Amino acid sequence: MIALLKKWRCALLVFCTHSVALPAIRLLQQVKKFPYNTAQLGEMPDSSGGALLLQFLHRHNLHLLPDYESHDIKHALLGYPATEEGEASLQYFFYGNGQRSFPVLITVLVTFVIMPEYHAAFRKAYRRGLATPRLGGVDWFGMLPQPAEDIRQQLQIPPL
Amino acid sequence: MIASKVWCLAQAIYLGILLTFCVYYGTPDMLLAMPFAVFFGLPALLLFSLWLRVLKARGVSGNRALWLSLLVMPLCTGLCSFGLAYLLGPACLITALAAVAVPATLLSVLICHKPIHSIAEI
Repeated sequence: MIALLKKWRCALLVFCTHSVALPAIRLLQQVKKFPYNTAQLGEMPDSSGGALLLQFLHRHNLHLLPDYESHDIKHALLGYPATEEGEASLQYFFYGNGQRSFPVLITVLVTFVIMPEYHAAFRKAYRRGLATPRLGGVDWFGMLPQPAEDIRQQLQIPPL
Repeated sequence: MIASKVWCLAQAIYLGILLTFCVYYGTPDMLLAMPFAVFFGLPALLLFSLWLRVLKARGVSGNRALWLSLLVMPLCTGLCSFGLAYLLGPACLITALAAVAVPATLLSVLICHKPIHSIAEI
């Protein structure tokens, strides 16, 4: 029964994200064009942020989603996987970091209610966000050629 | 940060006054209207953010967008409130208008002072 509920919850979240939220956000978001393609990312050094992004995409069997590249960069650099828990934790991290956009607020609210088994992980992500200096206005695309570890140090992101 | 704290405080005071008014002077109908009003107000806010984006995309300046929004937002919420009044009875009209239009208008002022892209960032 629990497994079935989790399956329905996953389907509901995927529908809400991909069919409702992403098209709406695309209308609202002021999108900066991503300056690299997959091949260019592959040419970056193994330790770079670009290579890390590519590894993240391969690991989760994803491709570059137009307009959401910065979201995937955040996943890769902060170490949150593209799973239910990882997606929600990322939003909790940014909530803790002071980013109070509509998607962050709605995700935090909804996942708090429907994903109680991950409350401990959410609290950890929130505290990690609190401990990180504000990331608003960071040029995620421009940092990609730099080594991933240097980016994390530069942004003072604590380890997971 | 200060703006958001002031906003939360203003919202709490406003709701407190509204609730006190409803409990002491209102009718059960008026109390009933509040959750309905909030329920109708949320989609209105989402539509409002979309409207702001459209204005910006068309090159409307910040101040003009603000004034247009201040005009449109109470109109939208006012229409919702009239719908509520039709459904629940005329006694709800004032409560519904106050519960939706006032916070929505205040929020619209707050949103207009933030960059649009930061509202939708994920």
